[in-house]
This record gives sequence, structure tokens and C-alpha cells, in this order.
Amino acid sequence: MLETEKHGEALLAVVKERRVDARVAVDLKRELADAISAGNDLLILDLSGVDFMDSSGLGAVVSSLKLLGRRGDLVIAGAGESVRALFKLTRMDKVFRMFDTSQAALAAIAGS
Amino acid sequence: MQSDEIRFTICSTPEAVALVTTSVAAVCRARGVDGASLVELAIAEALNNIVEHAYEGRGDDVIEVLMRVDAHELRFEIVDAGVSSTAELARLMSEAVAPEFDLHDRSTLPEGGMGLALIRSVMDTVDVTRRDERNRLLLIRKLVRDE
Repeated sequence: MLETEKHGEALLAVVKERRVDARVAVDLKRELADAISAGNDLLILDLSGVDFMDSSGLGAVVSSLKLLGRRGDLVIAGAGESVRALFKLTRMDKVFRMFDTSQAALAAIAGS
Repeated sequence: MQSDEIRFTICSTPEAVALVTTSVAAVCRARGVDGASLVELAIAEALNNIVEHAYEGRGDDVIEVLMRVDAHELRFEIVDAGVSSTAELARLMSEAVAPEFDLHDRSTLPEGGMGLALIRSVMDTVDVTRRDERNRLLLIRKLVRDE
């Protein structure tokens, strides 16, 4: 469900599912874990194609951030209105850095 | 505005939950209900909870969802014949708050347990009862309209 592309140190991972819910949360968690164990410590998760996410999908994203621990980061790009609402209601908008587009995320990361 | 009712009867699988929540959102949008995405989220969380906990992930049980919309409110009655956890669920529902965590310590971040608090933040009424060996979850969202 992820399409990935390496940009320098960062791995851009674009979610290709429109709904990230209980059907696919386990797959998302596994694919992100695989990317992290392959040595990617800096991930941009592009959610611009996602129009619905529930707490099981969010749990998969949180689990990946925890897996990175202190050695890396996972940032969110392109979250639409409903995905942003989920992050806000769960206060995860305070935990993840969120960018309007993956280009903005890449630029911010390159500059830091 | 007249009152409309729609009833869904589904198997307790994540695929069926996706079908119902998509339909609920479509009905909300067609009727001009504010916050259709939030309603979709709350119903998904409620149904996921039944699939995972009341039916313990078996997948071949039945969930009924009655949705009713009128000028004042959006009302859902969700019925399952899963394990009797009403007292526990009612307690959890009444106390549900978003899990606590430390922004500066990733190991404290919650990966689950967010569903009930999400339902409460979207719905004005959340009530659980058990009768005739069935759990009945009542969810009401009051509608605000500019007229």
C-alpha cells in the first residue's frame, strides 16, 4: 500500500489506499516497519491520497514513530481535512510534524 | 424536514464496516449534515469496537445499524449479539478520555484505546444498554443548521 522513493536521507512513502482503516492498518504497520528496519530513519508519510483514516490506521503510524525512537523521525505530508481532524482530536497533531505537501516536507528536512 | 431512516445489516468484518461507514457519510453529505467525516469516523470506531471486542474478531456475526436523520438530530442505534460487556462498556464510555501521553517521550504514545474518546467527541449522546442478550449502542449528534 506504500509507494516509496528515496530523496537523499529521506524516504518518501506515499499511501496508495484511499481508506486507511481496520482492514489495512496491519499492512501499513508492517510496510512501515519494513522500511524502518531496512535502515530508513527519516520518513515522510504522504497522506494526500487518503480521504479517511480511523484510529487503527493512526495507531499504525504512531507505532512506526515509536519504532524509530530517538534515532529518527516520521513526518506527515498532505493530510486532508478529515485526516487532520483525526490527528487533532487525538492530539497527534502535536506529536507529528505536519506539512501541506511532500515537497514542503522535503524542503524543510533538507534545510534542517 | 421529514425524518429518514436507513437500516444496515452486516457481518462483523472490517470490510463490511467500511461499506457502512462510507454509506453513512454519503447519506450525511446528501442531507447536508455538517461534519460528515467526523460522523463517519465515530461510526467506524463504534463498529470496529464491536468487531474486535464484542465479537472477538470472529467475523461471521451480525451487526445491525439503524440510522435516522431529521431536522434536529442524527441518530444511530447499533445492535450486536456479542459478549456481554455492557457494564464495562458503559463505564468506559462514561469515562472515556483521550489516552494521556508525554509529548516529549515517544514511548508513551498510544497505539490504541483512542476509539471511545473519539466517539464521545463527535456524539452528544452515547448510551449503552443490554436487553435480550443484545448490546444496544445509541449515538446521537445534534444538528446545527443555518436557516
